[in-house]
Amino acid sequence: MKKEKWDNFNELDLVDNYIKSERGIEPDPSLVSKLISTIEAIEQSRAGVNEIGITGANEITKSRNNQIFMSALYRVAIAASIALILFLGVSLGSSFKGSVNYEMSVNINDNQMENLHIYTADE
Amino acid sequence: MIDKRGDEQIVTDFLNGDRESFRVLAERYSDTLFRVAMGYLHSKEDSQDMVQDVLVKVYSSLGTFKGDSKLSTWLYRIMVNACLNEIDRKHRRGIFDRVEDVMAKIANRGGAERDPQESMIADEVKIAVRKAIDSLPDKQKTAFILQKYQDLSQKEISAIMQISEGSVEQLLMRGKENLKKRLKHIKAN
Repeated sequence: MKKEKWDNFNELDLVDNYIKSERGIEPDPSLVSKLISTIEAIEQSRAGVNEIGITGANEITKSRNNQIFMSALYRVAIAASIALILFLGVSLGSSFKGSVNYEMSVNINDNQMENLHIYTADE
Repeated sequence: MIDKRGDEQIVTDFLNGDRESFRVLAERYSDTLFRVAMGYLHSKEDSQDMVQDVLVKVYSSLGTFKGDSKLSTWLYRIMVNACLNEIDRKHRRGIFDRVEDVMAKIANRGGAERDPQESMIADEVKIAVRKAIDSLPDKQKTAFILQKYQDLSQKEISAIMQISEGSVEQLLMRGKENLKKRLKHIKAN
């Protein structure tokens, strides 16, 4: 049944279904408001640069440097977590010693336990 | 209230100092541009960011719009170029950003409560279709996305891509053929 369904299925139907699902995704209603506030912020920062000149420009450079620093810090944090995971994995792996059985093994020679002769001997 | 001004009028008003007119333009085109961005980037967040970036650029360069083509055509063109640039940039990105993406995807997946096997198959198909679309050459991809995500006619696509309608038709045909070829393995599996 499932196979038949697949046989009748065109590859482009998969694409159409995928596109249909993506077309169903709507942007946030606040998208335009956010955009307008971004534009206002840009306008204000431009006006700020014009008004206070170098000081304003320095502030913007400082904030950009801060962003770069934060981004570098973030990357270092990801690298450190990967290294930590690898280290923990390796150290846990090498600490495993397998199961050790401390019980004494019972040494019984069972060669004579069941003598087949008993069953096969003619009476 | 719906603003009944035409695009040209809004642009003129904006250039004459009515900054509020830009909000009307943004409201009129944000959904359209978002859908185009989705076609290229396949992520709601990335597409929203892209719409923001593009509209901020449009805000500061609306004065350079000559009116030779329709405003919508101009906007589509900017969005298509911005998305293609973003994809190029992503290809050149380092491993850290990719790890970040994967982690974000894993974090976003938490709420889904479907049958795990069904969900895995659906995800595999989705990934394969996405990869197939992404692997199309830029021109085929653009023609395909504009047609499928935006229902644009071949004439409109030709105006956006600045090529003839015949070329658009060929690009669409080749794009579909390529997608079929690239998705054959799914059917085989």
